[in-house]
Amino acid sequence: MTTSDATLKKKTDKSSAKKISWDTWAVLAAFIAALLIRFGVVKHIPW
Amino acid sequence: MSETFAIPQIKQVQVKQAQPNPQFLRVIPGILLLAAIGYAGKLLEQSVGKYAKSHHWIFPNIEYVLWAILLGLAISNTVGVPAIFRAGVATYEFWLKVGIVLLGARFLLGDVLKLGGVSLALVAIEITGAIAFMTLLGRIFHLKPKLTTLLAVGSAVCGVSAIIATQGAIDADEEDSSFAIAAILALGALALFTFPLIGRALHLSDHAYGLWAGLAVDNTAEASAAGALYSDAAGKLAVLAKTTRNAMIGFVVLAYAIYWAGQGQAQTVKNKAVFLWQKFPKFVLGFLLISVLATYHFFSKDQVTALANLSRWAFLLTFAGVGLRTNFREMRNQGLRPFAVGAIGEVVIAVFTLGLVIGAQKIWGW
Repeated sequence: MTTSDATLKKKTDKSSAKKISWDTWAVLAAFIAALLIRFGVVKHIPW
Repeated sequence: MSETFAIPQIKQVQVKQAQPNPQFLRVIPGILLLAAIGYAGKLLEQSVGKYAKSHHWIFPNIEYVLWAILLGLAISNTVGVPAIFRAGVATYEFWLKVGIVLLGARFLLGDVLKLGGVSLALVAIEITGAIAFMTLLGRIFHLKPKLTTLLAVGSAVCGVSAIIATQGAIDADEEDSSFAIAAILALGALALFTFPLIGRALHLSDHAYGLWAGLAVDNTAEASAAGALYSDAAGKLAVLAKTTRNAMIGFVVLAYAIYWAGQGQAQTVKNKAVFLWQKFPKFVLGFLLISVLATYHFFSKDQVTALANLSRWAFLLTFAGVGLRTNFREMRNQGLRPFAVGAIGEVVIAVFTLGLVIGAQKIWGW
């Protein structure tokens, strides 16, 4: 992260205070992925 | 990227009308770049290792983590990251948090409580010591009090996120937070290369090293990368210790907000519970919840493996982003004094936390 990105993050945080944060989106995305795996929609993730 | 936010509001509305979801589309090139660099790192790990072995060369096994970071650093500090990729590259913190939440599947709740309990005790000591030392250092170097507060929070708790949260809470200057962020990021980049070497030189166990990286490296992405550079097990422990530190962010920021409000230099905190919830990193809750589900066999063994692999892919994008977002030229331009304070503080905190971890290692026999 550069300082200009941090400035952007601050501005974004201020402008979207009432919107869902990236933090929460990340949790939602992780849980959707976990449920897709749990209910067999995605069966295998290679590494 | 900041130019986008300088566009007057009316123009943004026009763009939104023309394109239904420009924000979403804007990030795609950068995400693809993260994936390409991360995957190239993974391929390099395999192919370089195989090539060296087939030619009977003695060549250190460089893991995909380091390859991804090095490739990113090479691009960022030579040709630079073209504007079209920047919005997507900035999503690396999103992938970091997705990776951390999914990593919860690899921890049983008992382990989290046991290791988290140890981490919590060490984190409490680390935060108290780091804040006290950085405050003293700020006074010795005659830094502005609020800049000192930002540096103290950044090095004691969790880097950039903590600095941004504190800046808003104590009404600090934008310039001060930029200085503090630059210092913390520069030192995080240095930690990526120095911590694994020190860990190897001291023959630290994966457990001890992971805990140390999680306690001493400030930014979550760099702490995760510094842990993963040592070993997979150390990476897991580094994330757990760092997540424990992140969980403290609300309390530290609240304490500073109350202090500066008492000095008449910040707004009074009206509802402390709401304040704490707003500042609390939600991915910590996600990590715990996935860990609870894994503990109570909500996922089969194969599904836990799939979740762990998905977590690795998310971290792969993060590590590529760490390299791409580290620009040494920009960091150099931020000024020497806050960097000097940060550097002295970080070295002392690193030595202090190393002592804590080695002490804990002897007590618990890791």
